[in-house]
Order: sequence, then C-alpha cells, then structure tokens
Amino acid sequence: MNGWMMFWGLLLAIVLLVFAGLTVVVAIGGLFDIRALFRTIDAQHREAQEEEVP
Amino acid sequence: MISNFTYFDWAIVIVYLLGTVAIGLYANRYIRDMADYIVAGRSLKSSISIATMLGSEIGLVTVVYMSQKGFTGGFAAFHIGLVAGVACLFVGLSGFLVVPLREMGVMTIPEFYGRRFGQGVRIFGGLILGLAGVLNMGVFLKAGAVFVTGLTGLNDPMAVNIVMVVLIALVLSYTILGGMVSVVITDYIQFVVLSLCLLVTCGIAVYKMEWSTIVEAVEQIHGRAGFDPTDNTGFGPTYIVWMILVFGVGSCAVWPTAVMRVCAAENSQVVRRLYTWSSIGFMTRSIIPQFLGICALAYFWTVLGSESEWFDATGGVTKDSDMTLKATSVFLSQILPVGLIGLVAAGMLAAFMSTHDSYLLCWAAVLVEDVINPLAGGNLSMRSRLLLARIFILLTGIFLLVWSIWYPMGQDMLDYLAVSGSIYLTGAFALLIGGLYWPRASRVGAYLSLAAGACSVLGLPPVQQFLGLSDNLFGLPLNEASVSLSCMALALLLMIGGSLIFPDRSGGNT
Repeated sequence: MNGWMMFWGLLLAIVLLVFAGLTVVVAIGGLFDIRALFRTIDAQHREAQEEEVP
Repeated sequence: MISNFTYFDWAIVIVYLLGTVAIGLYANRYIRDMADYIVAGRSLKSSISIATMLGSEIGLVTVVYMSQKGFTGGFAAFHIGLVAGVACLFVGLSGFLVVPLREMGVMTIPEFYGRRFGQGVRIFGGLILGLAGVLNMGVFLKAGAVFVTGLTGLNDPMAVNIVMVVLIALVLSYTILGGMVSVVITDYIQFVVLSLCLLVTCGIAVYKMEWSTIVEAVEQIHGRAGFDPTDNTGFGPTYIVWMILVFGVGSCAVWPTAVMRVCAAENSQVVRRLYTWSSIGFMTRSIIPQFLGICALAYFWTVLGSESEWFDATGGVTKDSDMTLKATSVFLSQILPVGLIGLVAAGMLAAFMSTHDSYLLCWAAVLVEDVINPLAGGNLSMRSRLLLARIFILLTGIFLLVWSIWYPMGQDMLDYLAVSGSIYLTGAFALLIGGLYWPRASRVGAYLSLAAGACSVLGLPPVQQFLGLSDNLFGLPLNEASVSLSCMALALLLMIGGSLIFPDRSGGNT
C-alpha cells in the first residue's frame, strides 16, 4: 500500500507542476492564436465576397 | 454548514458572466455560414486548439463528477486520469484514428460513416450519437446546480431547481447567439481562469488539511482499495480496462466534441501536437478534481467525524449519490477565502457554459447535418440548417431541465457518463477501426456494430430495474463495466463477422 501511496503522491506532484507550466504557455500562445483566427475568418469572408462580385 | 460565500463573491460572478456573454455577442458578427458556425473555418492553431479542447473537457461538470469519484474511491481513482493521459499521448504520437479522420476532411464522425459505409449508416449512426449524447448530457445541469448551491450555501430545497433554470437560460441564449467562434474564445478564457483557480485551490487544500491527514483518512475509510485500483473491493481490473477504453481512447479520439477539435485543427501536424500536449490536460482534468474530492473526504472525516451524514453506519462513504456529488463544493465553501471563492464560482460557471455550448452545438450539428439533412436528400438550405440547429439546441435545453429534475441517478456520475457515452462510443469505435484500417469492413458489419453498441444502455441501473434484470446475466456480473465491455467485444465481433458474411458489392471506399 505504501508503494501505491508514493506513486500517487509523485504523480499528483508531477501533474500539478506540468499543468501549471502548460497553463502559462497556452495562456500566452492562445492570445496570438485568437488574433490570427479573426484575421483568417475575415480574409475568408473577403475572398468569398470578391468571388460573388461578377 | 455556513458557506464563506458573500455578496462580494456574487458581484464577481455576475461581472464575470456578463463579460463572457458580451464576448459571445461580439464573436457573433463573425458567423456567416455553417462552416463558421461549426469549426471556425478550420483556422485553429496549436495553443488555441489545446485551450479550447481542454476548455470544453475541464469544466464544472468534470470537476463535479471527478471529485465525486475521488470522494468515493480515494487515491485509487487516480488511475482514471493516468490511463486517460497515456491513451491521449498514444493517440498524439501515433495519430491513431485522428490523423486519418482529419486527412479525410470530415466535419463529424457520422459524416465519416456516410463516406465510408453509405448514407444509411450515417443516418443510423448520427441518430444513435445524437440520442446518446443528449442522454449523456442529461445530468450536467443537476451537477452544475448542485455545485453552485453547495459552494454558495443556498440550502433551500428549491434552490437546486431554480439555479438549474437560470443556468440553462444563460447557456441557451449564449450558445444560440454564438457558435464555434465564441466557443473558442470562452473555452480559452475559461481554461486560463479555471486552471489557475484549480491550482491555487489545491495549494490551499493541502495547506489546510496536511498530506498525512489526507492519507490517513483515505486509509481509515477505504482501506487498501483506496490506494490500489486492482483491489476487487474497490475498482478492480474490469473497471480499469473499461476506463482505458472509455475515458482513455474513447473520450479523446472518438468522443465527438474532441473530434470536432480535430476537424477544426489547421492540419494533421496540429492534430498530433494537440493530442500530445492535451495528454497532460486529460490526466489533469481527472486527477486534480479527484484530489479535491479526497481532501473533502478527509475534511468531513476529521472535522465532522464518521457519524456525520457523509458516512454510512459502517464508517464507509454514504451511498447517496446526491450527497457525494456535492461533497467537494461544500468542502470548498469552507476552506476558500472571500474573493477567491467568488472567482472559483465564476470560473466554474464560465466552464459550465463552455462545456454546455460545446456539447449543445455538437449534438445539434450531428442531428441536423447527419440525420435531418441526409433524410431530406441533402437539399436543405444553409439558413434552414442553421435554424434547425438552433431549434435542436433549444429542445435539448428543455430536455436537460426535465431529465435533471426527474432522473434518479443511483450511481456515481462518472459511471453514468461512461455508460451513456458507451451507447455511442462502442459502435463508433468498431466503425472507426474497421472503416479506417480494414478495407473489407462492410455496411452490414457497420449496422450490426452500431446496434450492439446501443445495447450498452443496459448498464444504467434504472434500465436494469425496468427490464427486471438480476445482478447476474448468464453467469456474468451485470455491472456498468462488464455490460459495456461485453457490448464492445460484441460490436467488434459483429463488425468482423458481418463484413465477412455480407461484404459490400463495390468493396471498401477508403
């Protein structure tokens, strides 16, 4: 039982540390991605409008 | 027990939610057609893909049912997160199922059914998926309301029902107005806020409870089964295998809300990266809430004692699933300080909206694109499809309210979700493996597999009681795990047998 307890304790510590790092990276990277997403959709709409114009 | 929740915390919640709705309305101006509505024009890059995938997977509902499992299962429940993380990593590194799906360019799993097995299978599979998905969502609203009332200290018996009505009204108006673009943005905000809240809450819980007290409480209440998942008095090997397939491979590679992220990713490289990094999130979304559930268990055991309402006469955890469902929220209402508790509530509620809009959008898209539109010969206009999607979202919302009030769960919520999810997952798994990797997989095999998968509904206790089934059927225990695993084996066998006996005349389509 002690082995399991050590294993789960270690897993919990690793999960918390790695998740904290992932949160920071995704929080910063996500901001840039949202800007890019809006630009892409705008560009797609502009292209569609240009194609519709005879 | 008196909650630490104050008027200041309510103010935080209201400001936060209004801000989120405003963002949803702002994003609405980007919605012009069904593609914008469903997959944000396939424009999602890595960071936002990870945030949006985890944002819809780590929600209030996830926190509630995972923490309940930690409360009722102890540290041994961590195996669910471990297998989910490893499975997701495997999918990311190998590209198993998700890369060929992305390369086919399909928008939903039933669309894949249609391309590979024909329109009939698409409609049948879409119907099973839509119904199973809505059934799966059926208890979300109750989980959300139980959490909110537990955290805020609203003890009036009617409070849960009133909170459910308010929550579903918020979610519906938000989802119907927005779509995938607003889902992407709120998932991102929700992921960042909720992640920070969870990390800080874990720190406070360990600081207040102390690690040794937590371990001792689990040992006293659960014994060896609280640490060893293979112990048959707790989870046992059958349950672990079930979790590997359902919460491991199934939830990350076959569950439609996850597959929608695959469809929305820019290319297959992003898909692989998304899954590789998301493995951390899939592990975390189980383990952190489960740990909070374990802390709640230790708190009630040390502060209130084993004679309290949280435990039964033998000193074990109470069998009342409504009680265990709210345990963690009541615990958080006792240990979190003013201000932080408001932020946690706001983050959780935003997460609740995020999860709901992802799911509502997903099931509505499936029912419109994969059932109604093919039945109408594919002739429905974009405007009609969008309108139908919004009508289905509204009808689903009404169903959620009725089901949450009426349905007697009688089991841990995670097990309910796994069983109802298996109704779709079981058949889908066989069809994806057969359809993507076995050229001889045929239409008849696909129909039979989908039908076998639907039999997983027998894992729900009220269905067993309705049919008068005993605890054993043909010598096999009739629990959730054994029913679901039997149906999976049957679905695979029927896919193989049906395809060999009744091959498609024109051969495989891949």
